Parts: sequence; structure tokens; C-alpha cells
Amino acid sequence: MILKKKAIILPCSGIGKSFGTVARHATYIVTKDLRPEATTTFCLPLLQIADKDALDLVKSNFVVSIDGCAKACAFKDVERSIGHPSDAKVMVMDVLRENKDLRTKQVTFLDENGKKLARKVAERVAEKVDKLLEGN
Amino acid sequence: MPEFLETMRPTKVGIIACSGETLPEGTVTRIAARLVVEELRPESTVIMCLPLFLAGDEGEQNFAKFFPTICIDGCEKQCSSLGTEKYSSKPTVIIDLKKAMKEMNIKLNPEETVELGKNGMKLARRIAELTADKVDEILLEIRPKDA
Repeated sequence: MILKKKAIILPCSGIGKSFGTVARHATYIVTKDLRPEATTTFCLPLLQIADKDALDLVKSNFVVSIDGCAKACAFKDVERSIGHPSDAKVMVMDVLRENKDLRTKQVTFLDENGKKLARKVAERVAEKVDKLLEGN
Repeated sequence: MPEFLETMRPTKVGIIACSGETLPEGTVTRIAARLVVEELRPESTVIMCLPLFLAGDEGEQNFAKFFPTICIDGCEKQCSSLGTEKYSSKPTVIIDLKKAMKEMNIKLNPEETVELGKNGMKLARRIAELTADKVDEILLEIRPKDA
């Protein structure tokens, strides 16, 4: 089956807190493991420099942003770049609230809790992807 | 040295990695930046989130306006340095990872985006050390009497 549109997964990849690393790893789990055919990603900072290929990609596909903290950089960066918000968003903090035992503090390399949390976030993203691509 | 740096004499340098998701080079810049702020120069550096610039965070934008910054770019798109300049101020130092890789004769496996292998970690460590040297040079120039 050839999909008309894909879902572009854009994590904040925040570098100051563990939640940014969780968002980044969740993206890899979705794009490489859970929904490799239906999703892809690109470097979020490309939006910052108004890279034409990146802008074309987000304009012509669905976008799911993953944000680590309340600053919601991925969500805001998409909105500021193309004039409308991402089609779906997942907040790491929301998933953590439902899985309080998965608290993590490691930023550079995720610990076991961080990896488990990333998997939970990825599963949430995959659900959003499936909804967006229904009837695509 | 810009005039405002001579007047303010900041004690911290901002480290801004491109942290690109699709290339192992992005992961190298990310880990190198973390090594600098966590291990090599924790007292004299702060790590900065590049996506916060576009998101409009004034704290991040102002820091890079008034404090020296080192941008680590993973590829020729130069998102870190161009993004910092566009939304805040020209970086004090730009580290070009691709150029450094050529000089160090280190190649990366394109599959290493999620987890760096031995070469990737070696490269991240060397870029972190290079960045730490640049931090020292910047602070020595700004605050020669404190050195």
C-alpha cells in the first residue's frame, strides 16, 4: 500500500532536561520500529533556518510534535514556521504523569526508566499517527 | 572582542549544539555539548536549547545576545550557528564538526543516530575537549585578570 501522506515526527530534542532526550528516543522508536513505513523525521532546527526541503515536507504531510516540557518548542516551532500548528502533539510530561514510576534524570544517556518512558511516549505517538492516517 | 563583552565581562559561555535528529553527527554534537557542561567545564558553561530560539523564548535569546556562545554544527546546513545568529546574535565561536572529522580522519556509521559507536563516542569526546579549550580562550580574553 502506498500512503499519500506520511506523518513527520518532530521531537523537541531539548538538551537541558531528560525529557528532551526521551522525546528524541521516542521518535527513533516510532520511525525505526513501531511505524517505519508511515513515519519519518528530520532535524527540527532546519525549521529555524527556513530550510526549503524541510518546510515542503511539513507542509505536505501530517506533523506530530513531541515536546519534553511545557515550553513546547517543537509545537511552537512548527506553528511559527508554517503558520498552523502540528496535526497532533504528545507531551512527555503528560505520559510521565500517567507513569510516575518512570521518573528519570539522565540527560545524555537514558537510564532504564528513561528508555521505558520513551517507549510509552512512542506508543502514544503511534496511536496519533494511526488516527491521522486513517483513510489516507 | 565585541565592546559589550569588554564592559560586561561575563563568566559563562553558552554551548549550543545543533542536536540534529537524522544524522549521527547531530548526536555527536549533542553528546559533546553535554560532556562540556556536565564534565569538562561545568562551572563556566551553560547548555542552551536551540529550538527555544525559534519558539521565541526571550531568556534564551537574550543570553546569547549578551553572553559569549559556542555553536557546534553537525553538517553543512549550519543550523546551530545560523539559527543563533538569526534569532539572537552572532556566535563567538563556531565548531564545524564535518571539518573536524576530516582533520581527525574519523568517519561515522550512518546507522549510529540512536546510539553512537566507539568512533562516534571518541569523536564526541574530542569535540567536547576542543569546545572546552575554546571556552577557556574566550574567558581568558574577556577576563584576563581572573585567569
